[in-house]
Amino acid sequence: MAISYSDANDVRTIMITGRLDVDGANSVSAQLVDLAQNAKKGVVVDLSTLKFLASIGIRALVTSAKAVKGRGGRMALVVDSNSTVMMSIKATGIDQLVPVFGSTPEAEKAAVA
Amino acid sequence: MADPAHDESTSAMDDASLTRTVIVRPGGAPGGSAAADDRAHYLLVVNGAGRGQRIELGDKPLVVGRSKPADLVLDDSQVSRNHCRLTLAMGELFVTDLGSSNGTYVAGRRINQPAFVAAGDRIGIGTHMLEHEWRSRGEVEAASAADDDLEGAKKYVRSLLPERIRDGSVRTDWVLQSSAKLGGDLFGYHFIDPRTFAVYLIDVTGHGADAAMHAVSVMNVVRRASLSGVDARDPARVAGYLNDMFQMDSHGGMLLSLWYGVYDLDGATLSYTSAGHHASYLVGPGRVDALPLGTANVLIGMMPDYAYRSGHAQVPRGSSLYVFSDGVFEIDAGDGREWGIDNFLPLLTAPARSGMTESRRILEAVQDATNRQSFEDDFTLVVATFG
Repeated sequence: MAISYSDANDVRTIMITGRLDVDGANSVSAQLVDLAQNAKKGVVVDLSTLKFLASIGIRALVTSAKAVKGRGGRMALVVDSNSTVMMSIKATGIDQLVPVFGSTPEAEKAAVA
Repeated sequence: MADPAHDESTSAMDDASLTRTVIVRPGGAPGGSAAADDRAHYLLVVNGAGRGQRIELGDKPLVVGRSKPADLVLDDSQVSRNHCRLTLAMGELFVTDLGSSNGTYVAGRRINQPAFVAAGDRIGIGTHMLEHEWRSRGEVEAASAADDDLEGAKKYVRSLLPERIRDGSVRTDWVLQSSAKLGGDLFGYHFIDPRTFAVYLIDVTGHGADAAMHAVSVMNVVRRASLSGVDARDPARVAGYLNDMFQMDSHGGMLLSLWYGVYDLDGATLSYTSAGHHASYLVGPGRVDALPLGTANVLIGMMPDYAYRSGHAQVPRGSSLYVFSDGVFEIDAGDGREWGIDNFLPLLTAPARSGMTESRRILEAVQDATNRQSFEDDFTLVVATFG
């Protein structure tokens, strides 16, 4: 499991890969919130290659989305529509808080809109 | 501080075989790095009555046996009175069998001469297992304090769980197997009035004593919802009420999912809401299929003023309702294989087993399918059968 990011124009794209499980989730979650909070305007969180989203990861996504919104920015997610991660996103209703897209360009567009 | 295990250990060196074995030493020798400075050797009792007990090993050999004057007494008929002796020599741990009836095992192998015990190895004595830990004292103190907190929280959570209902028009059974880190699962059920039965499950995101504490306070509110003027027969209202009360910004960033259902005995109907929670499933008496009972609502505490919705279903006589947390199907079965809801659901309609509750049958089926006895998250499953 790993977290990385890149800044381009007005968007920071944060990528989380692997399995966001109980043991690894705490540190990755803290990093995610920090990266989202201190980004420029828009934030895209790319979960398209993430295998599993533990509940602490759900909390980190919500906290990040609120932090981005709080400083007047927008956040969008990239999620593979047939994955277990998408199931978690839908079951928790995170898709009603943050727009979810199937590809990075779409999400980036939404994050700067 | 000098590694005490290096000093005064010569008394243990009279056994010549010890010196030969010392050469076999895995990486990370004591005193070899700065991080090792504060480390000490510990024995952790892994199972049995003394489970969780941790003993720091010093310069004095430690004798394990069934009764005094052994230094560590294990109440175990398979343990001999003087069973084995543990000795630190040159900063390493060795165990010597003292002619016990059932033998001493290191990492699964019976020893016939003093044997080296690597950090992480388990020593088998009778039905007991002792694990050799080589850790820093600060870390051990912190771990012990945290374990105590978790154990306390676990006991408290268990004390709040309802009695199983074995007779009557609504019968229940359940399992709640807490994960080592204690997830935030909690459930309950009660009759709101003689003809109305409520059942609910709460799963707080995250792990640990704080998640469990939050689950407890939420459940107390659910239980007393009617007293606060909320119509407990209306699942959407209960969810909305909790959402007003437990917004994450004012509750340490905590979020939770809820499934709440109300069964009306007269109408044989079930009203329900799932708030950030997957569906529960209703299996009819013919056990043909499992009907999902879920509504697409958000987690409690995430969005203020969210309008939660309820769903409704007719319940054929003899149907069973399965309410569960995601810990029953989000399981890492090893080899990178995720075991998921699609694997879990067929278990619900599998044949019942005589003499076994449904919750127990399903727990065992999941353990078999995933090849695990315990899980990373709490495993909570409540089954209510409507007669």
